Amino acid sequence: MTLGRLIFRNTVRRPVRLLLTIGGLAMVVLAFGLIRLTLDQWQAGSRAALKNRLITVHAMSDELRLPLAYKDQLAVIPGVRTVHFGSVFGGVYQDPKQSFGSFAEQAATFFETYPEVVLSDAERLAFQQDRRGCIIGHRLAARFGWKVGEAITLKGTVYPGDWELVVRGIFRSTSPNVMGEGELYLHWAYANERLKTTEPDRADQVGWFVVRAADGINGQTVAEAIDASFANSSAETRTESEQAYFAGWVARSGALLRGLEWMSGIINGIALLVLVNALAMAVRERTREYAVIKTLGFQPRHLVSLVLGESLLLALLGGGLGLVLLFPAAQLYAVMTQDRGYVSSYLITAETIGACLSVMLLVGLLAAVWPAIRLIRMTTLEGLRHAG
Amino acid sequence: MYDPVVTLQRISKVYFRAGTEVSVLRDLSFSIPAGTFLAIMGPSGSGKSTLLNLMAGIDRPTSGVVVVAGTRLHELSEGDMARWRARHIGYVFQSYNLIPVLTAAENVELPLLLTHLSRSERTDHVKTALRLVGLGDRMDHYPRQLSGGQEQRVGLARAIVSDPTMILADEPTGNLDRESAEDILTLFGRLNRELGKTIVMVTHDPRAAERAQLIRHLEKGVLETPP
Ligand SMILES: Nc1ncnc2c1ncn2[C@@H]1O[C@H](COP(=O)(O)OP(=O)(O)O)[C@@H](O)[C@H]1O
Ligand SMILES: [Mg+2]
Repeated sequence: MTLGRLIFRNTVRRPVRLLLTIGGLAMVVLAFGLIRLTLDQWQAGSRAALKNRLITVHAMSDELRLPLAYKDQLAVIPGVRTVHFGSVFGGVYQDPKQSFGSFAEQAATFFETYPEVVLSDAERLAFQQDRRGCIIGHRLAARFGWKVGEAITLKGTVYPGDWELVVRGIFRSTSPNVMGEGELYLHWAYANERLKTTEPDRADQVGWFVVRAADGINGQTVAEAIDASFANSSAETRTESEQAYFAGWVARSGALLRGLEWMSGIINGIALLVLVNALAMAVRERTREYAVIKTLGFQPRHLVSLVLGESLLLALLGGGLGLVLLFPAAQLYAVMTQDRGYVSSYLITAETIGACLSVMLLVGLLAAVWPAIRLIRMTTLEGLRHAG
Repeated sequence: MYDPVVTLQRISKVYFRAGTEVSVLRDLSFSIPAGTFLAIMGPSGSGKSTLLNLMAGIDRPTSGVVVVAGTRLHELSEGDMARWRARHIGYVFQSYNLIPVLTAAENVELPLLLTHLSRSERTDHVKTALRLVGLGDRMDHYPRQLSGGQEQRVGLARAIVSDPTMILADEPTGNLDRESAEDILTLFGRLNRELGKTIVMVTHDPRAAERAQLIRHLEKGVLETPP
């Protein structure tokens, strides 16, 4: 036998309390984990973005569209290497709840613009040669069991009507925070063609241009040149490097982000209280046993290790359970927090796991302090007289 | 061998309760020769437990000198006192005080965790102690699976497993039926006679006290030798 075994037996000796305590801690870890994922998602985009990729959107709002005709003007601006464009497609498969991000993109420039996409040459070619073709991230493929060559029908929201598409490739991404693996990409030309007959007013417009600056050219200079050339036009532009675009997005949500950081602090405070309460109850109930252990000649440090061990074990059990739940919860969360059909793929990184576990470790350490101090202060005689 | 094992010189113990002083032990001096089985008797509240706890090193006198097993106890720090207890004292409680989540064997092994014995040596000692008290077949039972008499025998095994200088017992038969009490007292007698253990037992049961070699009465804070 070791003191470790006593710690373990003490920890599991009241199963209902054990479950309530680690359940409470698990909920906290779950909430903390989801907040972390949200913060990560916001920040990771700006970190992983390519510096020489510029995004041009409508100056007034990301949601307004730009004329397709800007494409030719952009192409002749010095320093511009390629011009790509796309729009939100907003496709729904069967049930509106089963939504995912879908985008109409210019097929010819898609792969050179997004080198993150990992796809075989054959699949790239197959996509580019089929106007009704689409490519999908492997997560999306796994979600609906879609295979290459399969015909799927989407209901368009931004582009109305039923759309018959054929899966021409299933890709992975080298940088899932920028180019997600849960999305679908189809030909912009195909989507636009139908719009010309159904809603001619909205045809020939794009949501964004993505311009790649030539090597060795300062992206900032190019961005300024772009915006200058559309100044005083009916649709002025705002051009930023992809990195700045994401960073600006983060900055604009700054207050919200700080709020979330505060909340994660607060919920960890709740975890601490839950654990202190459970430990204090347990230690009080066992006062007499600790006094007996003292009578046998054990030192205060032994009693501290009994309490600390129990505290850490509870914290890690709760943290572990929370992490196990975090995986399915993150998927559910992604679906519930979707934005105009765009579902983020929340990746649970080693850092997130590490952060959750370190916070629980800290909570475990802190929670033991007060009960341990009480035990050290208790004299053996008082403890032996303790009823119960 | 320490002889005498216990020497108390001019011990007094005063409790302060609600502003008034309660004098429990008054100017008490006596010694216990090695190998004695002593019973301390006296009415409830006469200070028997207080006296025993002073010898056990879990309480300190208000004044006076306590020398047990060659150590001046009142001069030790708490930590040193705990270390000293682990080496010299085996304590038997009235209410057994076993750890409910540990088996009989694990309860008995507990004091051995403070020694340098290896795991297998510890297991040997535990088996020997439990066999000695007649519970060789109950090693893996939890306290709730044992009768009161059996629990107290585990308590006794825990007190002797580390081979302490002295066994101190506070009303060890107080919660037991006659038959179980006899078993415990017989064990005390054997430990004293066969292993030469010094035993101090507090009791208010005359039939228990009779099993000791020597009986002392504590009354109004003073020890009396019976006529
Ligand atoms: N911690 C304490 N504070 C105040 N009074 C105490 C304390 N411990 C014991 N006493 C008092 O000292 C007296 C002797 O107690 P105790 O040694 O337990 O007696 P016994 O074991 O002979 O019944 C009792 O009157 C008891 O109330
Ligand atoms: Mg008493």
